[in-house]
Amino acid sequence: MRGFALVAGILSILAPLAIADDPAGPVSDNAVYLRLLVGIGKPMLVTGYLDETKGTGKGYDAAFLDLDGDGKFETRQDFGTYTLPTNGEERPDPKIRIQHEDCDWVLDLRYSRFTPVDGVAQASIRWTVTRGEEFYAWFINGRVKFHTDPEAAAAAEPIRMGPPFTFKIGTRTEGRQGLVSVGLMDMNGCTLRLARQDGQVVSPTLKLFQDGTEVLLTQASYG
Amino acid sequence: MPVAVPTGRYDLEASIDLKPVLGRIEHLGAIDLVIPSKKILEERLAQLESGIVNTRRAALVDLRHFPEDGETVFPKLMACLEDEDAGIRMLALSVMTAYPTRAAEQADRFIGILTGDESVSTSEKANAAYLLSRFAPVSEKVGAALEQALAEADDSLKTRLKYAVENYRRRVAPPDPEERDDEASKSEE
Repeated sequence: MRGFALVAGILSILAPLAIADDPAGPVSDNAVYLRLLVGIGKPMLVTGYLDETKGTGKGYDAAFLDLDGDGKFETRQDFGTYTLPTNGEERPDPKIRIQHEDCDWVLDLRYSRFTPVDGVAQASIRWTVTRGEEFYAWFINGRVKFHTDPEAAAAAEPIRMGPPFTFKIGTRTEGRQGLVSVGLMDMNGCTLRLARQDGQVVSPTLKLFQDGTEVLLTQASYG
Repeated sequence: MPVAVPTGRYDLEASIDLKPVLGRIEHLGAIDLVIPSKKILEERLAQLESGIVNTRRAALVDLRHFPEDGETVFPKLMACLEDEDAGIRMLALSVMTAYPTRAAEQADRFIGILTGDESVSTSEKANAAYLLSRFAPVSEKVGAALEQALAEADDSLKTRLKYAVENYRRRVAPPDPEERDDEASKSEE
């Protein structure tokens, strides 16, 4: 973990240099730039922007990414659409897909509105990582900022799809009983919503001790 | 979902093994699950009489933790609905969600707030709606009032009323387990 933190720290320092020049450039005046740090062993730095390719105000429909650090946003990923279950409305389904470390990493921006105010767009993010049938994890409810200025984006913390993670412990009393909740959080403020290994759900283990004696051992449940 | 344990002080160990992709994550710490004492209750009730708004607000927040003393606490919360400070009135409605059974006995009062005129703030109406949706037991009268308020709400109130109405509907008819994941994640957005 320390090794990763060191690598991530170095990348974080170097990353402002990594926003690429794009000869074509975005179509939209409201294109927003982002940086992703993806993976655990050798985190991969991805830079890019979300664009409205049909023109400003027409809706974000594609991401342009620099996946190999060569300074060019040459990978285009078009967004699909999804149907709102409540009224059947078709909406853009912005997702960025990255292959790294034998895994599929997907940044899901479905519930975000990117239209920036004063150059900054607040975004709600989710992300998943999948390795075949072997592993799946889904993190939800993170908050990040996207910038219309590439340099501001380069100076901001990257979105981290991967470690470090921390546990958030919630406690409260209700009547005569105590309630304890555990949530695994990433650096974007996302919470682990579901994890599966070999088809089995994996959830945090919670142990409580009093006077050195284990008084509770349980699997926390997602909900 | 929270785990229920007897109150007390505990050392805690949380862990999850997400190998081989995300590794193993561990946390060690201590937690303090202590029931607020009767002395604190008496102090907070006295502070509700303070002329300083912030003191009254701080006292109100703590009164959420005394559901077994509802006979004493709830009338004081009801009195807060007459406070000159809109923030106190709004907060009192929020704290009352810890007393759903007693609140249900005053349904007409809260429906009155929900359907009040422009002298009632949007936040008060929204909190009243959420409180109504938390009543124990649920009642058709409350459900009808919430649905009607939603139908007539302007944009400033509609989103929050929709949340209260969905909360009420879920309590009347819990969602299909197949839809649960998606519903839960949406409510967290």
